[in-house]
Amino acid sequence: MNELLRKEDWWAVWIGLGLVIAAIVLFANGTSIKWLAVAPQKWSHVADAGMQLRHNGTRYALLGACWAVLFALGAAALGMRAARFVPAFLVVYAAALVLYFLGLWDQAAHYNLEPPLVALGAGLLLSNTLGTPRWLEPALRVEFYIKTGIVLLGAGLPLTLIAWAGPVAIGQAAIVSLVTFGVIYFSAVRLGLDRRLAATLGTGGAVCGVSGAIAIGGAIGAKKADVSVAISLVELWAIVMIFALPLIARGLHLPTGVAGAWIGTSEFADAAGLAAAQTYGGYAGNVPGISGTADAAVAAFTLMKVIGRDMWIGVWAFVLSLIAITRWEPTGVQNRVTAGEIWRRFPKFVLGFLLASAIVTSVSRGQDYAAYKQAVLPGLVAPLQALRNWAFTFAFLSIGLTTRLREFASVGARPLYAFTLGVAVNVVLGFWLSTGVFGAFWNRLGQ
Amino acid sequence: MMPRQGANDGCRECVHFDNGAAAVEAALPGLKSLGSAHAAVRAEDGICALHARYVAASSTCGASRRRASLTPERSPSAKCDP
Repeated sequence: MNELLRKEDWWAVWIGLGLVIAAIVLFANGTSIKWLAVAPQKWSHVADAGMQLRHNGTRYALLGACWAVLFALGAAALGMRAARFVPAFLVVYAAALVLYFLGLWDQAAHYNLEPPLVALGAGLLLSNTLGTPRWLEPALRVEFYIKTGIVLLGAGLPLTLIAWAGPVAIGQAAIVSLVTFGVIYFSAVRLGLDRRLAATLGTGGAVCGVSGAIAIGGAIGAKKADVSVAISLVELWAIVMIFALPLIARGLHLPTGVAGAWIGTSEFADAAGLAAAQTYGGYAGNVPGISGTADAAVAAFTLMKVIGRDMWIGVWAFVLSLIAITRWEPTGVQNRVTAGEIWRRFPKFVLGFLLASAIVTSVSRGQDYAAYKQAVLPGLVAPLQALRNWAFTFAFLSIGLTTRLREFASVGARPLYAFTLGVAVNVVLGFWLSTGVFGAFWNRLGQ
Repeated sequence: MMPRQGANDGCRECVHFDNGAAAVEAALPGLKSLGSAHAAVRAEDGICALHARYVAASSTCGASRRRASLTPERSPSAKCDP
């Protein structure tokens, strides 16, 4: 019971599913949550944007208050002070509002002003020059926002799609995860690094980024400094990939579903990957030669990263902790290994993602396509997608504002070499699997 | 909270162990940027000041010293705000 209120994953589930259920109740009663789930529309001139803002001012204010209350409830349960969280969050919300509007400028794609990249770039610039104000820090909870957004994302993905594409995602992700882990781990050991550091680096690169590094670091009792090195390397490459993967995919005119699968295979963290996938999705219809829908990039990414990689971190932790206590040099601290490790470290927000999908799928069941397009999509699914985009924008903004580039300087050459080799193999193998072996499959997802 | 000498009840109850979210995020710079000490994947892991390691709460060692009073996730820095 305690964990249900004291872990961020569960609060993401409560907030995300709460919004989904509220939306369904309103929809069933002949109305919709779309009044609250306000989002900017395409605009051409600043005057148009200003008029939208004035016209919907009350709705934007209420949406901000609603998000502030929901996230403050979670933050307070996690031990943060709500009185410090709320004012800081309202500033994050205001900044997100500006970015959301910017992304819907009809010239945004022409000037490469994709909201995730602008949010990240602006945040990085501020935090690494003037510094992020300390009073803003309580509201910069990247993972809290991204997990809530992923739960809401489930509402837009039919369960049948997850069942159809999930096994392929798991298969592709398993190949890449095992190969990437092997490359990083064995090259690190060959470079003379401690096996625990090698394993922490390996899972950071192969499974789920920073979350992978802390899960495995704790499970095998790694040195505190080694976990820090793994976190820094994951962040360094995750930030590079946010910019590099969409850029390369754009140059090659990859369909959105294919690019999303590649990003899901080769990015290191959920928030970073979603920033890259959402950026690429934004090219659909705006950049000539890129086929597929905007949502296909995010859907393929999520299937690959969340279902294919994140879900399995408990299994990695169990197996590696078993190997650590039976095969590796003792450290003075004895770990206890049980199969319960698999559930303890399971990223619980995945359950919310699957439940949201199952609930909305069951509500839509029996509706033909025309009825779905006419009623369910605008009245139920689209408003939840707008709320998802808000949560993601809060996260993208928080990434830049919490990333300190100077921290990357202290990782050391050998961990950098081993990790970078893994990154290179991961990117090439992920590209080959996403565009070649499973290319037709991921392309179909975007049609 | 006075430590009891010689007890070996695991890191969770040890005076050298701190698994408060704020303490973990302070000890692992960058964790907040693309991860979180509040994540389920962290379970109850925390920092062992004695061995300078990041360990599971269920771990044990011969040098552990038990705290007098306990909470499920106790830390001198229980509140998470910086």
